Amino acid sequence: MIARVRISGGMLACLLFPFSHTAAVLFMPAPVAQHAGADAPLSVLLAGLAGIAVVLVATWIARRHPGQLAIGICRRALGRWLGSAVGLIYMAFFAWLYSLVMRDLLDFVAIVLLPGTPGRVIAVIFGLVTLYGVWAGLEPVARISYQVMLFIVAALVVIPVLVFREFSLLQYSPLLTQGLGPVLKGAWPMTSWFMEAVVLLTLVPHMNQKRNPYRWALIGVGGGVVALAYLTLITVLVFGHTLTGRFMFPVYSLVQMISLAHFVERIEMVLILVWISGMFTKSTLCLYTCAEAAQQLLGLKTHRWPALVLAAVGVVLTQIWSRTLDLLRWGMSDAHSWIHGGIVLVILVLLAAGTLVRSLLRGKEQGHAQA
Amino acid sequence: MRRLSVLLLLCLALLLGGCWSRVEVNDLAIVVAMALDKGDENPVRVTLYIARAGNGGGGEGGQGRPGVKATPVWVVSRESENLSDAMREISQASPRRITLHHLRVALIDEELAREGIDDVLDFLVRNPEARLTTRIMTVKGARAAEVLQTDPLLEGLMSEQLAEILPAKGGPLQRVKEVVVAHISKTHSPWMEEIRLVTREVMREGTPAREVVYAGAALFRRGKLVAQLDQKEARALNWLLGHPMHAVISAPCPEEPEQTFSVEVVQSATKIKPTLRGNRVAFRIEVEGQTDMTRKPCKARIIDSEVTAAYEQALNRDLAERITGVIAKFQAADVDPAGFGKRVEVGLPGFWQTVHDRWPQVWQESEVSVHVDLKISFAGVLIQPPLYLPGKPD
Repeated sequence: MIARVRISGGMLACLLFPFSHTAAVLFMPAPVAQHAGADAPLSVLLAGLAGIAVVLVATWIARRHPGQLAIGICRRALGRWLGSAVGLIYMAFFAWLYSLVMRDLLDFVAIVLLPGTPGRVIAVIFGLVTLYGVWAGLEPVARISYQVMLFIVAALVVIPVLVFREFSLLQYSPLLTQGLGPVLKGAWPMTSWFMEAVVLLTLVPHMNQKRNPYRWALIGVGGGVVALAYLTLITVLVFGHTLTGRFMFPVYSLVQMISLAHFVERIEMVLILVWISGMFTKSTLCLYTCAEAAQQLLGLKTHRWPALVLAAVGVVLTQIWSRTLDLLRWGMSDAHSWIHGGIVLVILVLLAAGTLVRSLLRGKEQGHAQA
Repeated sequence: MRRLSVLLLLCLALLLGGCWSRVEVNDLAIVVAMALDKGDENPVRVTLYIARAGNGGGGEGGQGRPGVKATPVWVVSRESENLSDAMREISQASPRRITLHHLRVALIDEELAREGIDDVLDFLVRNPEARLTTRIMTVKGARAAEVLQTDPLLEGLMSEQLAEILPAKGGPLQRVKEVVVAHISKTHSPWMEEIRLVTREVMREGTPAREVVYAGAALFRRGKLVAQLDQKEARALNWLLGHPMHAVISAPCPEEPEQTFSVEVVQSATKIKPTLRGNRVAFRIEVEGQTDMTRKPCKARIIDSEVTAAYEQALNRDLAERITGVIAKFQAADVDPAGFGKRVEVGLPGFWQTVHDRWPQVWQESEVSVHVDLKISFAGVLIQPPLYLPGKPD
């Protein structure tokens, strides 16, 4: 058992809320609207069910192995070798996710905020910031997330008020006119994004044992799902589903529409800063997860040095996509859903099966002992 | 550890100098209006109306030679194969970086609009600098570039004037967003405000002889201008869109048809209800509202309830005829700027599924009835004609 920091239930929710929706919020409404049309918000909610299922299973697994961190859970559930192999996959998955989140961030910043600045420079700067967060530890990141959460909630309240005049119900089509097919098709590319809630294998062991992790994890991930569905709905109400499906960054285009009396305009940068803060939470959490996993796999005393190496790897990996369009294509592709969703599913199914078998065996042993 | 932190902080201090891609404001050529015309020798002519940064007032000196009055704008035009090439040619002639971040108005000339605006819309939506809130309008009877060559009245920049004169017409204002949303919709057709240049008598030295006025609306089908509405017809379109506030309607006086009276709309609501008649759709348009009488040279006493009813009837008849006429024009041109198709999609979804792929034909054959119920709530501060004395010969 390793000494660890403790986070409260509220902190867990504040970490999971931006983690579950900020990376997807910028461009995922587009492919969802392409497939589901005006039913896009329903698709997001439907995809969110996969996230909720992951929350329940991952929390259950983590609770069945008290005192263990993520790799410890894997090893206890599946034995040393298979557990380490699954742990390695878990670590690699989050290292990969870290590079993808960083690339999303730097692509957006390079296109919208700092055109002309080389992506590598932006990647290194954000890499240093996330590394600083990981070095500081989970608790400071969780505390920052508290504040980020406040800004995100404020933005979610303010955006519809400021774009209210742009709403047109005549841009909205009746629900489910095409049946459930398009809704399911729209939900599919989102599903694997919400399944990233498997990060709970890292977070729940750090949680104060007196708190109910199910409740707070459901609040965090469920809140992220609802926030994404809500922003998708607003975007569709403003642009209609066809135009929403054609934007690269629909929500950014949405906040660009804000104009109050031709006086309050161009405030998208404020909202983008909120988004970047949310992305900071997500990327830091990804780096922390893989660094902590690496620390346990290698039997190191600290997660800091693996974090340094993994941050460098992540920054290098951001450059494997030669074009932004390649990354977008990947993020919206079936392959992304199959691979990311498949990895999470394999990890959870193996761990759940291992945990269940172990519980049954222990139950039998206890039965024999009592007999 | 402490040394590493200090080293990291020192490295971060290097970033305080500013961002990599910074451009100083006096190195920017800020485009505030853009005109797109059909070219003489090439397919497209782009004219940019560029505000001189730090010289918006156009006073003496500015950034030019001392004593020389600097104009607040630079109007530059290039013809080319396409919009991007023309923009590049302008960039090559500009000592400052051309930026579209503050583009407020895009003008399209009638001829180019008839050929198609897909390229223009694609450019404006795709460009990360341009905004969907940019006003977009067509220019009737003149080249769009001529509007940008005209001196503004009262405002310092023509872009400001163009953006400010249109709200006075009442009704919704078309921006790139509305036009694009309608363009890619199965149920709407795009439309834009139309402006034109008129030559007026110069009332005072220094006043420009030419001025820009609102001319009506241009209706598009599949990205091409196919019909135009004059001002009166465009006001009827506003009624269909549900935004006729502050519109002024003039109708013949019931007892003296050679005279007209005018009212201003102070409150209104328009409902468009689709109904099925057999296998055909019919629309019932219900217009309700309150008006304030602003002018009545006729002799009748508006305080009498029969007179009020007769005036309201005249008003309702006039508006119903106007709306009916403009709908006939829509159907003839096969356009649907008011979203009749959307009403069918929302109100009769089952029927819509059977007709959505041939909606233009269905729309052209649809029956539309107009029912107007406007009330005259006020008659200004008078209840009787102020200048007419019964018994006194005219």
